[in-house]
Amino acid sequence: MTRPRNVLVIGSGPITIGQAAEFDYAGVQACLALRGEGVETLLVNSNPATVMTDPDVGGQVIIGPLTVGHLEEVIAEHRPDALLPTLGGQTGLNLAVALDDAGVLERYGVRVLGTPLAAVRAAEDRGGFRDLVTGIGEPIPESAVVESVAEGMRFVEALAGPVVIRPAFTLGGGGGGFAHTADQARERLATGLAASPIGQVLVERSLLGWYEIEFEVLRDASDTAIAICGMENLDPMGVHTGDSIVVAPIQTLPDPLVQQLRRCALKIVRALRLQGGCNVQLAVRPDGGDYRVIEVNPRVSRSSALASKATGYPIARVAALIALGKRLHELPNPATGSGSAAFEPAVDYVVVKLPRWPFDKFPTADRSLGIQMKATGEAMGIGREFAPALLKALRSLEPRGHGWLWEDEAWGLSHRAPEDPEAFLTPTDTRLWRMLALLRHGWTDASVVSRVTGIAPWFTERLAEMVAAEQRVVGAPLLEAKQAGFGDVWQELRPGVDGFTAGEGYNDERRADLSNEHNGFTQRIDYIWARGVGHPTAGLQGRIKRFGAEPSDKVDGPYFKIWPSDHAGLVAELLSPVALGRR
Amino acid sequence: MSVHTRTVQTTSPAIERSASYSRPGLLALEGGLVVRGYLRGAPVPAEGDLIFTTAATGWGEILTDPSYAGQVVILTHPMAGSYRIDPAELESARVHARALVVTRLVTPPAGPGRSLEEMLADAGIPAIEGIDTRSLTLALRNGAARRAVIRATPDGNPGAEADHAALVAAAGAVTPWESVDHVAAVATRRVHVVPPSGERRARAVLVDYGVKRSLLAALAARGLELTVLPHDASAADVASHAPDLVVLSPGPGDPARMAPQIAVAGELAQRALSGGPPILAICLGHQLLALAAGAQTRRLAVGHHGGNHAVIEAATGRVDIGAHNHEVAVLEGPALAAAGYRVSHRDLNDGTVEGLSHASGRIASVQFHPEGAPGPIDAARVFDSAVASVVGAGA
Repeated sequence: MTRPRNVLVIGSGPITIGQAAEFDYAGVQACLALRGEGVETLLVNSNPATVMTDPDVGGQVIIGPLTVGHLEEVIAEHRPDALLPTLGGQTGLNLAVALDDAGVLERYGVRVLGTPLAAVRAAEDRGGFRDLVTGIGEPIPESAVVESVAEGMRFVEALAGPVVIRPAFTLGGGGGGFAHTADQARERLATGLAASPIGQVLVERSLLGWYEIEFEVLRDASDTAIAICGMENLDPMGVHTGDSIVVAPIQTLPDPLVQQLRRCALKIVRALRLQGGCNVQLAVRPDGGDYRVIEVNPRVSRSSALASKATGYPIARVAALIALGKRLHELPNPATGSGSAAFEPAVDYVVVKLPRWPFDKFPTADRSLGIQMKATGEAMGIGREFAPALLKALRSLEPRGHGWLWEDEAWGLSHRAPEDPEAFLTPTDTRLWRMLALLRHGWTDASVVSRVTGIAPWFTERLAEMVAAEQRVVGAPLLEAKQAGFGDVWQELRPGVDGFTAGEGYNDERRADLSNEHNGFTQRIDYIWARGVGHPTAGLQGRIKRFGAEPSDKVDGPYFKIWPSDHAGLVAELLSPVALGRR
Repeated sequence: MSVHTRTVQTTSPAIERSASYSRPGLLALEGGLVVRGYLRGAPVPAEGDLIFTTAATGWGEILTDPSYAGQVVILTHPMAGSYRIDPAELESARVHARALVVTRLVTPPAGPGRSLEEMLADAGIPAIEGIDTRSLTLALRNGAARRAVIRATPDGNPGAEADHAALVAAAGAVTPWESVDHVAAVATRRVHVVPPSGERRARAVLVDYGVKRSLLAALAARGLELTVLPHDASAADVASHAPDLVVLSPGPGDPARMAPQIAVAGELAQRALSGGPPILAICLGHQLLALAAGAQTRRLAVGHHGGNHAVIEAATGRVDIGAHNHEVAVLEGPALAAAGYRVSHRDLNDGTVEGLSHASGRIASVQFHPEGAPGPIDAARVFDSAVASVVGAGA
């Protein structure tokens, strides 16, 4: 492949709910990567309030509407010889397809880098998606278009599971809905058929309550395909992944199932013949016995940004280089500059992402969560275990009033159990705190919370452990609170914790303890397999600086803090010549 | 006082059991390091060679893989035991690893299958929990000596230096991993047949040095009827079954001490080149084959264990992420080339020889585990091509 001279990069446009700064992040990485290779970039974006439109990043920057007409003018004037459409989110991808449909790309000899537009169409179009996924023997949610109740019931009975019924050509899906029993299905089919002006409904297997898993994968022209990160949604299917608490790496699934899902994601990226990054979303039946492919995004996505930050692997940057024709094994490890980019990070920590919703600014908005994303941001926490990672993410969230211990007095949980636990735990922006409050007041246990919400028991049991830890650390040495993941803010600790006063913080003695005695320290986000030539753990670094050191002691690169268990000083000891005694 | 194990509010008997099994313990390395933790599983003493794996899942597979014989396994991923282990995930009939070193041993939700802790307790081996496994892994990578012991903390005297010195001395007295005949201890002693899972396409003899169930299953799934022979089978024993393909299996230990097996591998290779059945060798089998060809092996400074190792295939330039589990590697040298071998696979990170192929096309070997378990099976086409090369040959 000849090397492009000037590449058109389509930006992500206005920041909207569901498409936010993560695409700016991807665009920045990509532009810098292309320009680092000596390729000129021509960035078009309608949104000047982004980092990518900084000329130091975007190269030649054109601010203007993201329309086919305007892009054609830009192409006619600047004559880029290539287009990289997969970094500006859905906007960029849609525009690339529209430019192709309008014959613009052909007219001006602009070739598409990275992902063939046929692959984009296959992934985005309902029929194309079905053909693509079933063609490689992977399962999608079963569905049928039917025109009579009898026909519909034959499908429902063969499926033996809940279904969702969607009448054709009705505004807002009126007349449709979920059916969990045969009787419900019969009724919904009848109303749906009546509601559809053409007497047609789509019956599809309902995956409501299945677990949601995502993989971020990369593929190059040698057909090397790697899975950078597997992620697990805490909230089951029914809540948009952008509105879900997400955990990486996958915590609750057994190795054979993780491998099966990973293979499925790699098969898809290979079938698409994609050169670059791809996001594959899968639904897993809660007993682990079955799964479906639910979505394929043949581009850098919101989840790629999370996966990049969680693992330290710059997916967008590498995807851009692959689009230029580079092979993964020829690229140096992007995090370290040596070794190879063909590796899968095996993290030795846990990452938790919490969504951030704007409901404080829209007090009358509907706070229920569903298939339409409502979050406008997210916070990520990293720890050696789930609990500290979740608590760190929580501390990073605004508004800060919603600390770990926050409860809405209107819930009335201090004196009575909720009348309808199911209604109380319906997916909303406050469901996490509602679950915690129920556990804290002892109205229910983890298994009931899991049954009502569909959240995997592994997660609710961790939440129950954390609530139990709130009590356990009262009167215990402060280090225990730190190890359990609690921070220095009053919203996380109850009165009575050693040397701690609500509203005031620690007394001087405890503060001295924290900075000197207990030796909390920071660790680098590592790429286990790959710093330098050598070994999977070559990127590992132990203590970088003492916790409590001056804030100006910046750590080189991303890092996280940990509180070691009661073998403080281990790191220093381990690295001492005595411990290193040669074999 | 345990900070980790007594907090789940549930009545699961497994959890009550785990709480009662948790007691202070110590991990001592021969180089002088002593680390405090808590004993889980069976709170009994253990000793062996410390190695670490980057696998985040697959504890049932790891514990029962015979290649972990004699080893104390550090899990770099900090949360272990999060799901219940299905018997179908086990790689052999018993646990071969000596102990686990973990940051946090999670009690999994109730359900079918055993928890990791129950599995450890049933096998009579401990885990030591509460260890900063990143720091320990770093120490190993930086050259810390690997022999170690795990002991319960002496009652009422958890920190006495004299006790620590005694533990370090005990670690230094552990029989070196290299000097133990692990294969004789783990491999089958009787001839048995594994039927193909579908139609029989060819017949193979597998010499068992400590094979995993997943490897047998992967070969059977491709239509091989496998006759499994003990590790001390002779070349004539192999030939007596008139196989279409000979498979030399993975297994534990240092191949350099296995002179009889090296001799048999050499004889089988000679036969493969003179009209006998072709050979597919995996892991230990690959090392034996290379030694028979006059190459040398060496224990790696840091072993490869985990499911995220990248290997590049010389013929295609394709990289596969795969499962590795080896402390020893084949050294490249003139002997291999003189014997007609070229390096077919290489680790992308440290350049380790990960596969050999003979110019005749009759002999192929890989150091890694195309069968995964735990880990990816991206390179399973190694099996496909080995089977394809013999299908029809014996008909």
